[in-house]
Amino acid sequence: MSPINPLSPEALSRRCNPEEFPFETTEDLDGVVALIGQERPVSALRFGVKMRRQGYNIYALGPSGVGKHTLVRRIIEERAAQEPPPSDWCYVNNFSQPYRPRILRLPQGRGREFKRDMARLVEDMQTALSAAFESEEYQARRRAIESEFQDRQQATLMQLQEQARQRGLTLLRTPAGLAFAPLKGDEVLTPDEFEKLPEEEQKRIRADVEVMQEELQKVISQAPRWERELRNQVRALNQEIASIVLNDLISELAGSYADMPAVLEYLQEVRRDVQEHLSDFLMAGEKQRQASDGENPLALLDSVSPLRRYQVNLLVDSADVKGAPVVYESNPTYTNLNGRIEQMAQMGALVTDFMLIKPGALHRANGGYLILDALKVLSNAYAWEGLKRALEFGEVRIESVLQILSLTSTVSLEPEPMPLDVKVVLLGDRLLYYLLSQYDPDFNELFKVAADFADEVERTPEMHLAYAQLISSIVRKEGLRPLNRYAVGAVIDHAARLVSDSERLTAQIQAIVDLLQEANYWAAEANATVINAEHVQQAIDAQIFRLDRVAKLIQSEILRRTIHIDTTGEVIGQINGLSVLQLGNFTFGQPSRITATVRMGRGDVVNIEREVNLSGPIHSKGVLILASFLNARYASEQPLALSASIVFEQSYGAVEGDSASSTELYALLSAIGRIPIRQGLAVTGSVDQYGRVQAIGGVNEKIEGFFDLCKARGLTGDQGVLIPETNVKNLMLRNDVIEAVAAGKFHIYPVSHIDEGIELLTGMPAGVPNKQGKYPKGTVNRAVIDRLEKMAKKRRALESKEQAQKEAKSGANEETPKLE
Amino acid sequence: MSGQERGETSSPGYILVALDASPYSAAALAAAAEIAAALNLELRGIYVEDTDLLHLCGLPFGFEIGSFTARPRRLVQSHIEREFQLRAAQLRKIMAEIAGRQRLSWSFKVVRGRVTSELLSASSEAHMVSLGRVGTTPGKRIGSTAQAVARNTQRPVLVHAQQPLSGPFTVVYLGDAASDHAVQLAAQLARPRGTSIRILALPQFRPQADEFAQEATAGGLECSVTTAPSAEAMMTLLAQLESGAVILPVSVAPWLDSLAVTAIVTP
Repeated sequence: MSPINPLSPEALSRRCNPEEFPFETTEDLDGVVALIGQERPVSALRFGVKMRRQGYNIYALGPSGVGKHTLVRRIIEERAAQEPPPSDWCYVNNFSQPYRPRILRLPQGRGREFKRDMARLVEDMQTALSAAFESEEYQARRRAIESEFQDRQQATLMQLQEQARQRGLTLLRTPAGLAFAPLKGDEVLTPDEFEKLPEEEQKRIRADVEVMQEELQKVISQAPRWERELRNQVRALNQEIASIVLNDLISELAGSYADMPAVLEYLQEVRRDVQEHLSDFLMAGEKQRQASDGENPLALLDSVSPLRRYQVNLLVDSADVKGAPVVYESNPTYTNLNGRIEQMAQMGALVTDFMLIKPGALHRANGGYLILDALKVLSNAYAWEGLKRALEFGEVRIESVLQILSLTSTVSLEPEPMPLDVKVVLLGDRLLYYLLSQYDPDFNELFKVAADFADEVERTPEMHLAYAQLISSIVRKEGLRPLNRYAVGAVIDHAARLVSDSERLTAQIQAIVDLLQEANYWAAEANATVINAEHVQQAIDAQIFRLDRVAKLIQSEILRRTIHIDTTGEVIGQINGLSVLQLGNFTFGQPSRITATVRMGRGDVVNIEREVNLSGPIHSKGVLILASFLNARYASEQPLALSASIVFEQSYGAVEGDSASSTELYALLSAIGRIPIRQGLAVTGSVDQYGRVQAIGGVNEKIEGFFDLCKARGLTGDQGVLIPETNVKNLMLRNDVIEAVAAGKFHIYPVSHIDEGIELLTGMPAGVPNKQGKYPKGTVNRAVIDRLEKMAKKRRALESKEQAQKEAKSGANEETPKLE
Repeated sequence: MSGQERGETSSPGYILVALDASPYSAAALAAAAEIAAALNLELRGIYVEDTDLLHLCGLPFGFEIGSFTARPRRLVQSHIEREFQLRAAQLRKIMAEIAGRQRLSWSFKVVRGRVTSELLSASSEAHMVSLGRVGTTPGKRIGSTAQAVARNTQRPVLVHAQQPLSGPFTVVYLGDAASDHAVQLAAQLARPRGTSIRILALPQFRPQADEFAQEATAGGLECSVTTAPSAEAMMTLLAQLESGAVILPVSVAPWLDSLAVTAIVTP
């Protein structure tokens, strides 16, 4: 096997060549926002916004900071500008069912007009009705009706009185009514005088009085009917006068809304209601008069005028909206989405009416687009349920949460629902999308379009230029200093480092925006007019410095040997593994000492982490795989007669991931073959059952973590890191690492198989089996096999001995005389 | 009851206010109090317990027919007397209130007898008599008592509608002494109110009316004269009035029945 050569410095990082950029600074670029490799979500969004079918709402998924909101908004706004403007929506009183306000749809801009027209109509009705009822004609006709009634009453009583007079009687008013009394001259007959009259005369008088009393009873009984007639006549007169006024006013208004049948119907209802409530208008006029005369200044303070029911609640006024509406609701609570019904205090009680209905984001976005953050919708109680219901039924129903839960039966409003035609775009991360998709059966029905944003983009020369355009646009938008070509190159290199891939760039624009703003700060500190590569590097270093306290603390503990990591010498069964730790947004590498021990046993490999439940499933899987490799390679013809233990020394937390499985395997081979391992090397990489080394994550941080330790102790020139060969493309290492490699003080070895790695680590060839399957002497594999065979022999010998002892014991038992 | 005592001992300048159960009498009382205050007169209330009603209680067919229910109820003298007492006490209270508001000397008395004769006899010494429009006689726009008193009194009679007494004052001028009294009284009432006088005269009395108008105008009053071709035309004009007050001589007292506003009849 040919020896593995360390990677050249060029392979350790792929840097932009700023000289290739066709600009000096970002000012030379046009600053038009370029799309950075998001063809998939762009295509999904364009499809989603044009697809006007139920359920084709959009979920834009991707990590935060990739520019979902900006892109979604841009695409939607482009589309919305070509679409027809939304309608105006009004709530008006429902005169037959006041608890169920009616909704009216009017063309754009007509809502405002309708509201104004109705306010004027009420004002005009008040003036015109007051004038009509104060007119000479009305007053005269009313007087005529009333006097006719009075005259009739009077005439009847006079007639009665005349009849009484003819019979010698008079009509008297008593405390509670009327009575007839016989007269003598012009005075009432006294009882004594009556007694003295002849019996015949007495009888006649008595009979006359009785007749007259009956007549009087008839007359009085008629009075309520007459009064009713009077009222009816007055009412008919009022209706006649009012209809003349209302016909004129409402017909004029109806002419302007002839193309809107719902409005015309409403106006007819208004007319009917006004005729039934004429007194409200006359009283309102009286109140105004009182207030203006200073007679009762509080007259108009009555908060709820009965005329309020003719007002118009302009729920959605889209007069100033151009194209279809695009609404982003930053606080998507249930009521902010679905609208609410407010209440007002009146005489100590809370009351409400159709004028207190307030719109939600769904109302405002109707006919257009509504953009929401998925997490915010889900974390606001009932907001998600409310949104789904609105989309499912295609209408917005304004109900309080208590009403939905049937927890209240207080009298409230049930406004007519608004028909809904809206495209909802949810922005959220992938996990949320997959969870909703999995667990909410409605989700897939309602959000059929997924716009999946990429985290990273291919790194090509064209993409370098596109990225430069993006940087230029950010610079302009944020008002930053321009970047020169070297700074642009540094930003692009950092964009590759952020995704740990020399062939890709991050799509998380926010991280780039942050870096540019911070570089601008350092440029300002240095009084520079242009941001250069040093300012960018300063910003990166400062970001790291602000966050690397824990990383430095761990390194210092290693340097103080509180944590034992060897970086020189050779040790059997001990190797430097590399872990990656993430604290918040900061990721760093840390060397870990992994040791393996072997003893005679039955072929089991003990993962000590697993024994104490500190091993994650993937780590455990890695250990099982390496055990499998061990069995396959070295125990195909005889059972393994050893037991091994592997452990992460001085690790007090959980271990997860399989990136240390090759490392553990090297330690185990070293322990079995009793071959020392060079401690100046650290290893990362997972292994398969055939011994192939596979890619891992965080390669840059791991290398830099070990490099920093070695550098702190002084680079010996023998130190380095073994990485999977497939990870070479991920290398975007720091300049100081590259410089050390260039100077031959540090080495990065790309390894594709365990045999390559073990050679580097032990300095001994791994060994290739000959035709008989035997490994040559002086190789690692031979040493391992020899040890295993030796252990197997010992085990067999031990087992034979045990068997013999057992048999001997058993034979002795058989020879025991039977007691008979 | 110092007011009462003062009333009994002071000079004869007083207004007699006839009080009864009708709502008009309280209005008449208020108007009378206003005039009394303006002319510096006393106020004397009188309530007549109608003997006709008491007589009716003793008769076997003494039933009243309820004005709302139309049901007959037996009239009992003790009930009627209690009603008289209650009413008198109530009227006394109202009078005390109204007179007290105007700071007037006042008295109130209750007499038993026939209403018209008792009022006429009580009014002989009064400066003026004030009555409500509707008295105890049902079916008439103006009570028979008011009619009878107005026709027979030697004093001006104020027949009050439910509005407060206010200008302009329309005076009927028929050239007799009562008409002269009428125009004089109009001037007396109009001056403190700063309101105008309109004299309605028949053509033959126009010169006297004009003369009076000139005098009044010279005295700082706004006064106009309108000629009516006949007494009927005059009555029609008066019947159409809806505000102000009418002052008319006793000879045309029957016109009271067709007036809608407050009127004063002068002897």
